[in-house]
Amino acid sequence: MPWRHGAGVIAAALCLLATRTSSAYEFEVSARTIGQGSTLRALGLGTNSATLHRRRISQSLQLHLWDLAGTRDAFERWNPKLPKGPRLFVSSYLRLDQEQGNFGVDTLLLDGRIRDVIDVIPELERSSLQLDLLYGYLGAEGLLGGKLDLYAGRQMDVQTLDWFSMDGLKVRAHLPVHVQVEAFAGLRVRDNSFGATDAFAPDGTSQAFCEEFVEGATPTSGGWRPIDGLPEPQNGRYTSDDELCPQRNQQMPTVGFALATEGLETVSARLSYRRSHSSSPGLIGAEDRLDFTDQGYYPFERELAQSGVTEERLALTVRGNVSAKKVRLTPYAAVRYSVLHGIIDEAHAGTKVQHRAHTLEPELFYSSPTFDGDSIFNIFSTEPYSDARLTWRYTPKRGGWSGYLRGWGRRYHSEDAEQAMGVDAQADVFAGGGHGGIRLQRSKHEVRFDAYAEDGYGGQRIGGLLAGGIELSNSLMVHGRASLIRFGDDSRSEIRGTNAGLQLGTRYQINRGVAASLLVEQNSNAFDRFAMAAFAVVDLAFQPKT
Amino acid sequence: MPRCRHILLAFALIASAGFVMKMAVAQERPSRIIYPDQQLPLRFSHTLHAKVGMNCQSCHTGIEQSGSSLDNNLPREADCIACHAIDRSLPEKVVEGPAAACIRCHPGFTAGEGGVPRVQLPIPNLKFSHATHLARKTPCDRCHGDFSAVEEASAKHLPTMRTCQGCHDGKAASDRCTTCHLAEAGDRMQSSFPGIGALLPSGSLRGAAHDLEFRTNHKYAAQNDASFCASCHKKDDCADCHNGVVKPMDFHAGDYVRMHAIEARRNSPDCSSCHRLQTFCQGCHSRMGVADDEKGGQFRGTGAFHPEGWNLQGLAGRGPNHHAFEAQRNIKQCASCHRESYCTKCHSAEVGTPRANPHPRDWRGSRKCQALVKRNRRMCLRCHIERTIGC
Repeated sequence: MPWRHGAGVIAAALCLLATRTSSAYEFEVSARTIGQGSTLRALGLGTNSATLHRRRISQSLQLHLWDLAGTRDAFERWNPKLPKGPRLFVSSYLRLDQEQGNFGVDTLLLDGRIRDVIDVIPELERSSLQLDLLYGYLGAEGLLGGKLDLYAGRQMDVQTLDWFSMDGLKVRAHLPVHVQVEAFAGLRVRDNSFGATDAFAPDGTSQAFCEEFVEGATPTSGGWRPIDGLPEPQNGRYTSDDELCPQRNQQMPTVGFALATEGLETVSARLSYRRSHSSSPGLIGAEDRLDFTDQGYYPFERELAQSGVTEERLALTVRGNVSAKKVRLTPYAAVRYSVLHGIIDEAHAGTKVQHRAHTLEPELFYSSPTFDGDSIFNIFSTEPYSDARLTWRYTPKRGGWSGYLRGWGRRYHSEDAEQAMGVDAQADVFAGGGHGGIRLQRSKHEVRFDAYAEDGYGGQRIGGLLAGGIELSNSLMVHGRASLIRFGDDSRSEIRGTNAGLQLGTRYQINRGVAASLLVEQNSNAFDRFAMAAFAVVDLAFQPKT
Repeated sequence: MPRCRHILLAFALIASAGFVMKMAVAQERPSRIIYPDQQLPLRFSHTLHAKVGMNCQSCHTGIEQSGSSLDNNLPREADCIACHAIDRSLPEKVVEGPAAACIRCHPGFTAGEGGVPRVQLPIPNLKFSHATHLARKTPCDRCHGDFSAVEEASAKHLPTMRTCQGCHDGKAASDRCTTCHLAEAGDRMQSSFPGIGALLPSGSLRGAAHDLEFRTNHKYAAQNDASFCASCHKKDDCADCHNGVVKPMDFHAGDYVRMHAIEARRNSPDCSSCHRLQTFCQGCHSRMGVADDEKGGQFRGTGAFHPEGWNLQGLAGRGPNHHAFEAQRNIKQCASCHRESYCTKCHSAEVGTPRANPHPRDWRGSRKCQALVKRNRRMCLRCHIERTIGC
């Protein structure tokens, strides 16, 4: 069971903590309570045009204990020239999220039966009541004279161009030639891991409607059926057929490595590899439901591998930073190869050219969407798209002014699709637009204006936002934003209109490290004359963001 | 009138350009966050003092013992009095040789109206030991420049980070951020200074200037050198935004629920940065009744959502509205309303289905086919239940 592993890691971390009482460590504790409320208009599910309320409370607790054994300070006192003293620390982020409105906690009438919303739409289960440990790990940095770092527990990292979460061990060695080597192994955090957030789980297969192949009594009479054998999930609060999905309950061992430069000012590069796989749960249902024994009629059984790769990626990123004659160049390139798919699924290259306060940045971007290895969407998705972007930024050192202008264009390639189907259906599809913004920032106030115009694939968006904030006193700040956006969805001609929005907010710092914020937003368009949303935060360990 | 308007417009543009150029070429001053604004109501000529053979330590007498940036190392009256025959009871005293009248060094001083204007030298937000640097024989001008032609000193003569990096390169001296910068718990650099401002990267180190749109455009800086970000940021800072739970109302502008489809179809910004794409989209679309999930969506079975020709079966008569093009181009959009089982109703090799083949031409033998079959056959078996799988 996945949760046992997570519990084991936490227990081990607690044991390690309990073995020594330290008086030298630093700690940081932050807590935040966020309330969100908004209204939506539902269009179906037996509640035609009903207003749905979202009332969401999210509480987070972040705890960091640094230098548990006091060794870092001791080493620094002993020899300040050392690059790093060993440091033992614990870092964690815990979150409780609960939906109180009728959006996620409600009953509805469907096909003449009253059902819990969660039973009908299992995807909503996670937003209804969820305790997440986003990360919680024990770290030991600077071991062996600064040559080795160890991290054990749940870790959340940016790896190979994407987010990634794992319960396991990561080792990083600092080599003497400005190179670090990293290796990690563990279990990928997925839906059914202990206290897991699914935000960074491999995506592509929906959480709901998990099915199994049920063999028939004769060849070709089998088929995919809902796991519980019923056409609809059973009704019961906070239960769904997701809990009966054996494939998603499989653990997902993950290994990887990275090779990266460190401490070089003019260039940084990182080559990383990651592979996740999961076992196949095998045939189910035959033993517990069918009145005949396994007939072995299907290649399915013979060809079903013991395990399958869910994700396998190799990525290289390089970034330079050089200057000559008051011109600073920051060229960069990144490419990701999906070994699972045998294709490059993302690539990006560009450079920043900075001269005094001006920066020009041309970029090229390429993407060929891929999904996790269990998803049939990998077959359907065949066409890549590419972007060209050009950005100019102006950031003078004086006056508090800054601004930017950006233009971009995108081409969705479709020639392969047309050839494959033998249909001269259409030319390539394009999208493009421009953005711009300007900001005046002073010590006590800030004003910002942004405008954009986009059209092409996806639809049209033309609009602007005027935002500002002023610090009335050391403890009180008010801010507001007005927006006017004209929009038109190109897939549904009736989704077209102009939205006017007004947002007002305030932040009051009650005491040092304690602040309360309130933000109210009112939007008006042809679909919703009066759509209101509110957002309130109580922030402990608050730090003013200046 | 139109001509006049054009002239005015041209004038305004030229004036704006001039202003911009003036701003751009203005002399650089070290960061106000590191060195908050000073007030030095003094008149002092370093040039003059240098000409008479004085060195820095002649006036900055305690500098060799100064081990902290908390120290005020400006010369005091006692240091001046060694040469200047100052007498507080005679503020306008005139003597031969070095001046002794108060007003010579304290401009605006008026006898009988209180003391001289005070020097205000805020403590820099920096760790620095003059003693350590001088003990290593670091000459003053390496950090402060040549003072032989400087009259009054100002913040412009304080070293910038670029100057420090001349020696603090990781070899001659430590290049850890917190060697010089103030540190927070966990040995991170302190970047927020209430009442003063925030210390933001200018881009000179890694090209990661936190400019106006860095908040929405930091992906490639962050992924490349996460340890550089960790100089100032905890992982909490990432998780606070990239969590998929709290809607940042200043990020998704206006009635985003109504307008999000445009950005979502373009995947710009990348929805998966914060949301688990299919699960997140599918749940909300089902609840709102816009998904054809056989559970009560408003478009259930009507085909009304998609344009004419969307579901045309067979190759004949296919036009640009056919769903195949959209699926191949942007299956994520389909996945926000349809689960896989919806696709396999037609696109399956299973008996009893239309057996519509979704594979692109030349699929067999392709590298993608081989890679997928080799690494995960489970996916193939969703459709190929009764046939041997291979490329």
